[in-house]
Amino acid sequence: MHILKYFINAVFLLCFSISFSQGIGSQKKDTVYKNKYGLRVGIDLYNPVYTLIDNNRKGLELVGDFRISKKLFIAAELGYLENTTNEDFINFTTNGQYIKAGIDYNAYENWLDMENMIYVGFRYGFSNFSQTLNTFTVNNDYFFHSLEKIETGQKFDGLNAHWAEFILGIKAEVFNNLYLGFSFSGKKMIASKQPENFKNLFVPGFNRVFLNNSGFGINYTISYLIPLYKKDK
Amino acid sequence: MKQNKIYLLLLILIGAFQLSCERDEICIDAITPKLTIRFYDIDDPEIKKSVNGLIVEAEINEELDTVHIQLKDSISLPLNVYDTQTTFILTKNSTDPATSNKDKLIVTYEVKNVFVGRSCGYKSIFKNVTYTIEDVNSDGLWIKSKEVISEHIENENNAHLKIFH
Repeated sequence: MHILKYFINAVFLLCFSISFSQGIGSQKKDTVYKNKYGLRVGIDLYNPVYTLIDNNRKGLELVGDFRISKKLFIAAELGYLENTTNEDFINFTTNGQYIKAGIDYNAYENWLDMENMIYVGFRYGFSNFSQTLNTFTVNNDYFFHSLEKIETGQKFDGLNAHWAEFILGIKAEVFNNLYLGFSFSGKKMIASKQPENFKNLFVPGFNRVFLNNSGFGINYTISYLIPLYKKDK
Repeated sequence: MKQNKIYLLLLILIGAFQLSCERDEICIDAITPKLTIRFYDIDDPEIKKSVNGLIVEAEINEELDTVHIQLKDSISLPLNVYDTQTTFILTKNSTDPATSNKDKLIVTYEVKNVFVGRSCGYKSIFKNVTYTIEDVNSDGLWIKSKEVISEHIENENNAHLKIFH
């Protein structure tokens, strides 16, 4: 039975999109299964793995959520990120911390006493950061191409940004109390303190700021549930 | 074993995400503005007058390089953003050695770099622009007078300098 549960959970993680579209419903059982309540803490794996591929991005994010009802979780993320962006004419490094807080709503009806999630979430995000313009070349007429030189930029301190996030994600209990999760987030900037004669083109926690002030992100999380009590709903 | 597969899947997903990233901006904004000069008739200052056989050269590292110009009554010249001065040699009647006449135009300015956007980076604009005209080869000035329209070169919407000849 335990192996079967483990197998179902693993399949859930791998094939969530299929099971989602086919809509595995709950089965009425005589036994009442209780839900685990507690504090789930973990880390995001996306940035550490990304650092292995591309050294221009270094960061760590702690994730946590606390269950308040059968379907609702209070959730928060705390992280820092150092990211270097290289464009045709500019190269800059963004460095800062961020915090996100909000709720997750589990839209998935679990079998038996399993604790998997397909959820939607909402977050308010805030980041405090600096931008360092490492180098830039003036976008000049080709006529003076032979004189072209790379100029050194400056550091812009004390910048910040506020934004809202909408999240779609899954979490699967792969071992007892140990969860693997994947989520996708769409973001929209609310307000941002901009540097003078430069622009916040990247914000920690928000990632690349697109032209229409939107952004997106993905997370891979591994987290552990510290069970506090059980309730049947 | 199953966990290895999960990690493999995670890596594949990261790869897919990387491929899906594309540029959201293409540099289509106007870059560093050029100096626009229009030529007028000295006898009738309201009338545009093209310069016969005009050739424009600019100094780069103390050597002269020809600036490509299309019209003979209105020209756009690039300014050197890496210095506070650009020197041009304007030659009239360049095809005829007997009547050919060279004048020097020295443009001095302050350079200010202005942020445009992600893909364009910075452009330069020019403040407090002044113009000096000097004779070359002691054959007299073919440029009779000048009129500064705008002290600052921030765009190419209008001419910045009128030259009368």
